Amino acid sequence: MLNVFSGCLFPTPVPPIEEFDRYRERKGPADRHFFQAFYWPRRDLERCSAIISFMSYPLGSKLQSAALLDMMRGHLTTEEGKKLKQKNGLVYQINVAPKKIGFEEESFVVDLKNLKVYKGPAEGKPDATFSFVDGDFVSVAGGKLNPQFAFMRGKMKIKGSMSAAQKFTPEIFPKPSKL
Amino acid sequence: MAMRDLVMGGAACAVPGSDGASSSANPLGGLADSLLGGASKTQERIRELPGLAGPGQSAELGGRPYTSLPGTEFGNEFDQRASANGSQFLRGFGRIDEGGFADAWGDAVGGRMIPPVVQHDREQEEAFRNFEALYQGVEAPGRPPLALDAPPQRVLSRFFRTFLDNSHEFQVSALPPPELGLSEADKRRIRDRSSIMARHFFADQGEDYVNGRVNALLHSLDIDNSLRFREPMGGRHPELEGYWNEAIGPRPGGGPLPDTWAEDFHQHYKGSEPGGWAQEFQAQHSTDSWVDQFGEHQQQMVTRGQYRNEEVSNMAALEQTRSLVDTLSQNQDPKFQNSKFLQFVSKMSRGELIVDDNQVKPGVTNDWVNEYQERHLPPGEKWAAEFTAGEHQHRGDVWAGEFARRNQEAPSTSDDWVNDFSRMHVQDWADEYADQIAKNPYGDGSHESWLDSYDKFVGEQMADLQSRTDSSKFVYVFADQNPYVGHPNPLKEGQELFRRGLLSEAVLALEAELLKNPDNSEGWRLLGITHAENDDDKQAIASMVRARDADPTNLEVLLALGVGHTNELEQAEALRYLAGWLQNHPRYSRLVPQDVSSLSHSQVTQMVNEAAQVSPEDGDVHTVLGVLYNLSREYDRAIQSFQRALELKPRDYSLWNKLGATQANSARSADAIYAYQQALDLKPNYVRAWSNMGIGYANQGRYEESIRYYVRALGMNPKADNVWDYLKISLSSCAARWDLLDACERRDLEPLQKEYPLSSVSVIHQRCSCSHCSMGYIQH
Repeated sequence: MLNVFSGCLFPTPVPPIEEFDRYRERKGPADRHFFQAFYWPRRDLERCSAIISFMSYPLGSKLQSAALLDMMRGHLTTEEGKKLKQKNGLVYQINVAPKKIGFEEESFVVDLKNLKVYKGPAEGKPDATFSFVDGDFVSVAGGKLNPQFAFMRGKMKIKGSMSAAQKFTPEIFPKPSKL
Repeated sequence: MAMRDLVMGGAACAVPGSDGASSSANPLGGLADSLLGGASKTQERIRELPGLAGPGQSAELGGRPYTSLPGTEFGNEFDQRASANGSQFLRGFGRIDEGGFADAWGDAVGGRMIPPVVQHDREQEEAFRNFEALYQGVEAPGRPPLALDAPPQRVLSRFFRTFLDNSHEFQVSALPPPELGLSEADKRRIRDRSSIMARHFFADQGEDYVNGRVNALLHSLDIDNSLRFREPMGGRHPELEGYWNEAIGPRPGGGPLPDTWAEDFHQHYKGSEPGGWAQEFQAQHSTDSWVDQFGEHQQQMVTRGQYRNEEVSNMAALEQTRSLVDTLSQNQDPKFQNSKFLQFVSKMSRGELIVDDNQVKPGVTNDWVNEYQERHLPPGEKWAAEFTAGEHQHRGDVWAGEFARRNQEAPSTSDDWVNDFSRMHVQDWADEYADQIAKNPYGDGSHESWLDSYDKFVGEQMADLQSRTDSSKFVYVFADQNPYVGHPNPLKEGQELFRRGLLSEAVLALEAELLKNPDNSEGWRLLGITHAENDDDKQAIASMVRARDADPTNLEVLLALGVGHTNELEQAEALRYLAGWLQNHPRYSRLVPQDVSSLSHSQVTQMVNEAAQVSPEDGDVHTVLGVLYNLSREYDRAIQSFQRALELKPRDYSLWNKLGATQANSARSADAIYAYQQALDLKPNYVRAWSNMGIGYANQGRYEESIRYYVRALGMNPKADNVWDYLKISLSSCAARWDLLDACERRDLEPLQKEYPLSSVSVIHQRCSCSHCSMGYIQH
């Protein structure tokens, strides 16, 4: 059998996603802390390897933005993605809310300095923090919505360095291809 | 009601025979003095003129030809003007349009005589002639005109209009202004009124702008602005109180003087049926005769005479027009939410509207009254409509603050309420109004009707929002013009066009079929597939939804919906349709519980995996599995599934595209390009594969190639919005070609096609650099 997940370190059987699902329903969105808290105390090696693979694959979120950011994570492993370190090299935290900015937000970090994408909050201080509603982030990253317009219309809230924010353009994101 | 009294007063103040002396002492005193006479006159006139003002109106007007109205046509006036003193500086003002204030003042102060015919331009002359023709024929000599000429007033009105006109930069004259004979009270009033008006009209421009504007005006009029509005006013209060009481006092209906707005409101609406406000207003206050009077008043202002003795009373006239506007603004109750009316009167107070109209249109008064009636007859609905139009917000707030204030400390707050204009508390306003209704002892229908309208409005808004977010998101939009409408067999034509790869044409033919036959499941399905291949997922989903409505168990439709929603990153919907696919599959339905809606992604995946074990030779199962893994971003597995499906159905170009897209989304764009090429070899007009190809190149940073593919895709389907977006990104990353970006913005493909022609797209990729060459299914 192939690796369970892209980027997975161990060839493992299917991780018990149902369990994650159930836990998530109780405790909210899963993140790495959840997995550590949930599995590490049990010293369950099989599960732990599953966690590692799980962590390396999806951002564990049902948001559209998470799907896009997963693509971003993959993109940062490519030659073109690695160029972003020189071109941009900034750390962005992106707070995505399902319906309304500020409510039930999930944080993601696009770290173009270290070429990483992970669930937030950021490990250091991000250069800029954005807040979006789910679909709006996808629109901005897909070039459908101009970031300036999004900001002016209040669809995008910015904290942090304005010059960093201005480098947050659709160009840095990979475009989703369609099946 | 203060508004209507002022309306009356504003008209009555100019009625000949009213005591000039008292009105010159205090404009509002003049208003009050003339009120009784004016009111009786009004009633008289109702009897005389049951219809709207027509010839009767002009019969009332002065005998002198009505040549011009204040403020606009000074040049015309000057010829006739006897008073050299007045014309000397007025001419300066008359030229403001041509020159600046400075020039005007220069002329006025330097005392240069300007030839009597001052810069008539053709337009003015024409207007003038029209006017003469219009009025000289109609007007019969009536009463002798009362000498209420108003050059200083006109000077002021010019100031005010320039001041209020957004488009003009207000120029401050360095020279001293002419002696207008403004008393301290007048100056104060001008200052207050102008700041009120400015805040009202330039509400969108910000406080600084308003203040700057007001200061410029005051400076140019040599009015000291050192007294600020919030200062304790000392002696001013009695005056304002008097103003208020006098304005309210002599109401035609009689009765005790109400001193709060609320009482006034109740009184006014007592016993009035909802919707009858306009009639009531008309009956009680004789709108049309008010208009008559207003016109007359205006006319008297332009008839000439010794203005010097009358200047204060003319100030009063202008003052009253403006106080009418102020009062109108104050009475922002629901019945009076009609901004059009308010704007109208505001403009009238500036001398703009009625001037223009009177000159160009004979029936303007009637028109206006008609409009007025029309607007006010069904107040609830009209108001609701206006509310919906979105203009209400600000006024509502204004009204809230205003209402609150008036309620508490009615008459003595005349300068504080200015500040209320800038308040923004919709909630307060709503609460306030609710309170008011609760306290309303009369409980007549007008409040309810207002509330109903409001509820209706809110309901509509909510429904609108709902439909926008849910159902109408995927509503199928038919093309405007369809040459296939009327085709004998558009479905067959559509199938043929689809087979030949003319996707955009096939869409039209199929639309024609579906317009004719809206329940044709097969037509919708094919249309959905065509849209998907044409890279328009929104329309694809919309048509597939219709296909599903017509035939809820069609497996292809369910799978297509699953794919469409996956492409739109809508995981929950996609999962639902993919589970539906499994549930409706004759061979696998036993694997699925009855209720699919609550299944999690992993459960569905598990079941489809079981199905794949049951019949490993079914390519569709692997396809569904591939889509499911795409949903959970398990791209390796997805690729595996699609490859398995391709082994079973190697000629399925959509599978090749799915494989490519999955590879591209998992950062394997180089591999993806090979898969896309396979798809395009099987179906050369596969727009989705062309645009995916562009995405694949763009993600590798090969922007120029990506542009070529995007342009190619757009050449086949210019309606593919997302491709335009991507093209823009590629253009801005690749070359700073603003002309091309412009063309992209205009959706003009031609220059782009010239710059990035098709021929340089290397259609055949001979060499494969992908990592799957070892997997056996790609022949080299």
